[in-house]
Amino acid sequence: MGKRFILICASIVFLSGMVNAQDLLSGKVSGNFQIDAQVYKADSAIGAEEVSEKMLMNSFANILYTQGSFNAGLRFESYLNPILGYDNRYKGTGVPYWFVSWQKEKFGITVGNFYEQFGNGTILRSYEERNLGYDNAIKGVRVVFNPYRGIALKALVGTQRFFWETGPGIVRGIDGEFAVNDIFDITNESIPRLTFGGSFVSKYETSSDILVGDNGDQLLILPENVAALSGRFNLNHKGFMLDGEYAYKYNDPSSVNNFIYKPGESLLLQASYSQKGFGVILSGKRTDNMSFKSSRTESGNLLDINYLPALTRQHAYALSAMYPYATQPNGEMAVQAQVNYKIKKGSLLGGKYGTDIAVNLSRITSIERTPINDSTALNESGTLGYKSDFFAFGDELYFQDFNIEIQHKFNSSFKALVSWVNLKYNIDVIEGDPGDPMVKANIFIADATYKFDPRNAVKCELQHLGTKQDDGDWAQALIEYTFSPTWFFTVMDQYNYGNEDSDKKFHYPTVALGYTQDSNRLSVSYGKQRKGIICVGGVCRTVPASNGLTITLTSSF
Amino acid sequence: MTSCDKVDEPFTKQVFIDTTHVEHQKRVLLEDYTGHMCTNCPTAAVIAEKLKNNYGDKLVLLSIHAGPFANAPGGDFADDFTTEAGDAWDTYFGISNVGNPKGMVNRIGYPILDHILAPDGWSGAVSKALKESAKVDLRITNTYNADTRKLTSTIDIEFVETIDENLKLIVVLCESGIIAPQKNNDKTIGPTPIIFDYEHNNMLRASITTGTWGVPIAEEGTVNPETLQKSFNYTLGSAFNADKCKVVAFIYDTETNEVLQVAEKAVK
Repeated sequence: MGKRFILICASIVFLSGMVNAQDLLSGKVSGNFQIDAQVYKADSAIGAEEVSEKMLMNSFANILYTQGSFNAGLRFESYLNPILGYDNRYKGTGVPYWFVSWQKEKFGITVGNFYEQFGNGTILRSYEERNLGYDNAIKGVRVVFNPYRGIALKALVGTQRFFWETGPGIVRGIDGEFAVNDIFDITNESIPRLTFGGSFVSKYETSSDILVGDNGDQLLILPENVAALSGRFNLNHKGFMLDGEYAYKYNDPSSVNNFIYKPGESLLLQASYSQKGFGVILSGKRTDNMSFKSSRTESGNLLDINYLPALTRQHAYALSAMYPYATQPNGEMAVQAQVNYKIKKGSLLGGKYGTDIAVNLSRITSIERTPINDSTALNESGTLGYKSDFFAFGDELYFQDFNIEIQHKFNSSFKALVSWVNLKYNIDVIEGDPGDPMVKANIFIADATYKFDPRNAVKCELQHLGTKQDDGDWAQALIEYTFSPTWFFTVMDQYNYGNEDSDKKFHYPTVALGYTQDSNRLSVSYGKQRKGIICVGGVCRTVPASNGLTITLTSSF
Repeated sequence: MTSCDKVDEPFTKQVFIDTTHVEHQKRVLLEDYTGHMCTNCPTAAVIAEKLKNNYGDKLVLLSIHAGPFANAPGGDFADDFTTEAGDAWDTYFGISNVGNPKGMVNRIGYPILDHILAPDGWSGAVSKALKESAKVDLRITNTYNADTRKLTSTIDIEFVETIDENLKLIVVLCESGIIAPQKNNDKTIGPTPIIFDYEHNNMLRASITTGTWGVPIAEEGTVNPETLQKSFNYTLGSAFNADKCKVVAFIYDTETNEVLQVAEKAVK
């Protein structure tokens, strides 16, 4: 930590000379800070384990210094010890993220740690998601070059974050994006806007001995350099938009795909139309063997080079988010359709403010897999694995979500939301519980807020999940009182009343209190939390059951 | 700019495992941290068994039931296969925290997180560890009295090279052929989701050396003895099948945790 801090200070002093000898102190410092602490009580009934430290804590602070075209920053992180559900290898304190960057005319250079995305991320996306404990930041060098109006080129080389170290593989990539209308200086609005782009990413990892075969005596001939290419386009005109991205990955035998040599492919297509009060989005995706990591024996959410989006709606309510989808990198065929419609103000159903209706459907199945020949089993290590028809949908349903959401503001004090979600969730594949039947659930949500005056409001949420599988039916009720902008107070209970096992019909009550002052926010909650999963964009983390106190403090400056 | 290696068929090559032995043969310890409720663990056990078939007595397997998947909540999974030693090592090395199945080969790589290896990484680590030569050797002699169930295990230690480090010796008992339910998700190995008559092998049953971290056998700054002999007594519990039990002994460096040599010998 000390060495890095000195390095940054030295860089600031050295480079400030390059920034036209401006006064060093004329720059701006900003940042934010968050600390989450949980105090645990063992509760064997709900499966909350004994925590020997009694209290666990995650915290981080981002500090950014900006002066003209020069930026430097760092993130301090401390996990003493990591909160349950976060990988224990994060234990410790340090500065795993720091960078220095500057922009000079057509060039932008960043050294240190950085996040980046090429197109939709299907061959390269490094990002962080604190809720998941996900961070695959790249540590190295990145150059951005804009040689001409409408042309943006990027190149990077680095290694990826692996807890407090970096992974064994080196990632290199280049990306070019061309905004045709800008290049040819087409400003006429009646001509559609076309942008296209392409990327090339390659990873290098030294070979190691991996034995496969019935007798474990077949040594894999591993490719040390694995490359992936992608091409994309985006066309938009008035309210229409069409977007597509295709990616191809060369042989990448890894733990995730069981060491097969089949190339990987993905295709993402999206079409949408929007106008005032109405919008439609249609998307389709094929993923075939597209896990791309900078370590071939790694699994889980670690060292991913790319990102495969989940074509599902992210649900905001606890019971509709109880069975979230986790992207299956080895293969999936997905379609999603969404329609948004606003019933006009003044009409019968629209009322004074209008009514918003959103209908969404997503359906994800496996890809079709056929053996490559009669003597090779599907997915056998050290072979091509399988053959798959590009446009065929496989026989196995992974996930289906049909939902309708209606929001209406009745008058200046009262607004409400109702929602119905019909879900089919393949718990066997998604959570790795072999033999468990497909979870079929119907979820109803009602959420209403009543404002007494501009400062005082009360919100009431009622949720119900009905299913015959897994843990059975759930009901949830929540009341939240807000004294804007300073205080909020919440009482809620989640009740598994429908559990087949009468000993397991648990209540999960929670009370929470929050205080906000300027850009500081403190919240304290006490209660029980059920074992569950939290997913953001198809990337998931399990949350173990817990009982106790949670304190969160956030601040920014 | 073609940073891409395209491999053409065949994708594998036959490897001939060197079965020759030298006088002081280096042997490697592969610890498989597992649990009867871990669905991915049977696949890992098969990987370990294949390595054992190839390397024979150059590889010693130890299957340690620890962590949340080794809990005994009742019903089909009422057996408690955890041990004090296994739990202590699992906590110290942080293995189950990362997930199961996971293992260690000669406990190399601690504490920089390299020590925890996924099953796919075991063959590479084992072949790499076997390339080294043994700096110390040990031989186990067991005498067992079936009536009293008393085992006396004598470990003869010989320093092949001078080792100026703090070393300790751990001696444990493990048992094979234990038939008990095991969760499974690999249809090629057995029924899913549970294999009711699964054969658990090389299961760590107890620590023969008192405590969980063994007894000191060499001290930094002190000259290594020419030879050293340590004897341990242990009475086998009635639940253990002496015909299927083995004594596993290994010497490790207390600072790096690296296992320098290991040996195994059947109780009877």
